[in-house]
Amino acid sequence: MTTDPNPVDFEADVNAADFDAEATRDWLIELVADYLERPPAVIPPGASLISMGLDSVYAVALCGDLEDRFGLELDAALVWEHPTVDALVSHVRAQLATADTNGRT
Amino acid sequence: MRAGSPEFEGMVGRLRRHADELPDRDAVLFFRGAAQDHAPERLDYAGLDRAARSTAAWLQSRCRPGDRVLLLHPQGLDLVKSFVACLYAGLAPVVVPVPGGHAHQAERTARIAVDCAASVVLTDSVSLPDVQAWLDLPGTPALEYAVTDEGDLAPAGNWTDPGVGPDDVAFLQYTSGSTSDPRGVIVSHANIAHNIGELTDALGWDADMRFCGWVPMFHDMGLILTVLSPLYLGTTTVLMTATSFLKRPSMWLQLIDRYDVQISCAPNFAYDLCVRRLTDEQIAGLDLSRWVCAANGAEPVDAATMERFARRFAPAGFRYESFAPAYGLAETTLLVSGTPTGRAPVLRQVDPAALEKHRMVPVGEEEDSVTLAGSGQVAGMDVRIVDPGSLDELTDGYIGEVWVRGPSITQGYWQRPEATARLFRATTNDDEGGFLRTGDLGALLDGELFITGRIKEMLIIRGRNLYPHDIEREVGALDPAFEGRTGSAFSIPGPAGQGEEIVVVQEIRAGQTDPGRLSGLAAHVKDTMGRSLGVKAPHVVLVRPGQVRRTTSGKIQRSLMRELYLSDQLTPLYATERQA
Repeated sequence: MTTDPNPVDFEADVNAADFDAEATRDWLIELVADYLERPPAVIPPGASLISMGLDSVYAVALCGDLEDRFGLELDAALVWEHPTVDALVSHVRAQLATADTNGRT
Repeated sequence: MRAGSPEFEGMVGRLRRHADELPDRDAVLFFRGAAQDHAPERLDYAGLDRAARSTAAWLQSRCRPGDRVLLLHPQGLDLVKSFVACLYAGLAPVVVPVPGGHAHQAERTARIAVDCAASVVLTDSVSLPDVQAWLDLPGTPALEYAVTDEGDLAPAGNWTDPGVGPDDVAFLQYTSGSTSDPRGVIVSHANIAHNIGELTDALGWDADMRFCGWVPMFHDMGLILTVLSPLYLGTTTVLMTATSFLKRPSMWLQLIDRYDVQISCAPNFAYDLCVRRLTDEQIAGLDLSRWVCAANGAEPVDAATMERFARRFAPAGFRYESFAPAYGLAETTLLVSGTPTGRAPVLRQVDPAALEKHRMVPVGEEEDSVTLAGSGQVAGMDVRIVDPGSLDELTDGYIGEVWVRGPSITQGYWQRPEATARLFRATTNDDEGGFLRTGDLGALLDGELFITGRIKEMLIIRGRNLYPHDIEREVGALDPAFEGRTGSAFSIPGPAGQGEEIVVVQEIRAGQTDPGRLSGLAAHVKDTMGRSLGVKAPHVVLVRPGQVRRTTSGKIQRSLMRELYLSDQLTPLYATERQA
């Protein structure tokens, strides 16, 4: 089990006001479980999704799902840089905070 | 349709004529991002001709006829313009992905630049930082480059038509060969004209049909089928990026509907991805009834995928008969066989036991059977099925290597006379010569070509060609525990409808086999290779020295390793869990 390699800084965290990390984590686990054709219970939020068998096709799919849900534009290599569910949640939270600061409507 | 001219009218002649006769017709519409957010970038035939003449004029002032030009553009209009400019200048474009962060990508690009002895690079302002970083690497050859999107490189009027002939090299296609040993397929102007002519005739296309696609231009299918064919015909092609497709498969189908597209191609996995990812609401908003040619190729065609897709998209008006399974490879320009528009794919139920003995024996529905999807009828070429050992030609229903000869067979591999002679100039036992050995296994049955597997050890996953040798080399360098030891990479069938998966069997040095460390080591291999290959992370099996079988000459016996793995005859020190 890997630890989050990209901890989000505290300031960004408090700025993403409406972000529900818990719900996002559960939603991501459901999605990943569906893509991997495994039950959600066997997807630990700290496990490397690549090692669990998520290939580049579904890694980019996941990126599209996150973009649609949060109205963000994310790099297609997202899952490569943030390979666990927890890391993805942190990254999205940080992105939302940045977008807030930059006056996203 | 050659307008009575005795002269050769290749791609260049066609494009000049389209610019004259259809100046305002859209040649390419390109969507950089999501379709709902942006209007497409447009390029009409007059604009393409003008841009091509301008860049060609600049190229002519720098290069000698026949020189190679490396194109480092992302997918988009600049890439199409630069490609056509090279043809106009009588130079051979080489399309490769823009080298990004990955070291092996940079290495591959550098090896290709060296292999083809490129004389110049064309790029654009967006890619320039990446290209400059790549040029600064020690392994990259010194190359002059030009940016094509910051104003004309030269006045279009300075272009002089070099008058390319049918036998001149049109472009080099680097889809073959491993990272460490890239091979450029030499495609002539006559090859393009013949293969597109065959696609048009065999599949029943015409100049009033529109095209759409997202398969990149560095892939033979993307280049020939979604870009060069429509340009040759003088029709419109709607392009989007592969990333856009993977993020939102719905966008591909929406563009097909919105732009009244008749022809679009994709590898098999893409159709499965659409089935899995489009919602009922998205499907309800689609009309796919005018999509009459859904070509399926570049990886094994799965009958079940086509059935699932047709069922899922029937409410949107998609018809099963629109599926056009096809078979081709870069070495034959593209198409070898294809399904005519309007004719349903040919499916045959065959005896699985006979299949293992290399025979296709049709059986009734009620018997135990395997369904094989045909890859269409052979189009304007001479295809033989040959026993790869004895070189005897086989009759209908017998599986052997697919050999092809005809005017679409390319000129061989760039600067590889030995490999070219061996693979492009093969002769059967009956002394029939001039055949390309495809390395693919298949059979002819009632005029339909069925592809059943391959002899070469190349792995085809998600339409990408991967080489065991590259994978083994990369794994071997991952940890000191592997140093000097042998590894073997091969593919096994994945779960139904999911193509193939990779297995890596790696020996560990004696004294490094501490059980506590093995699981971490295997996880490291899995994660690193999953990232670097971009396909589902391999299954990893760690074994003692000597367990990876080799021939007396030291060649890794990958087929034997696959058999041992599948029949549980390896004694692993550690193996990652294999999903049922």
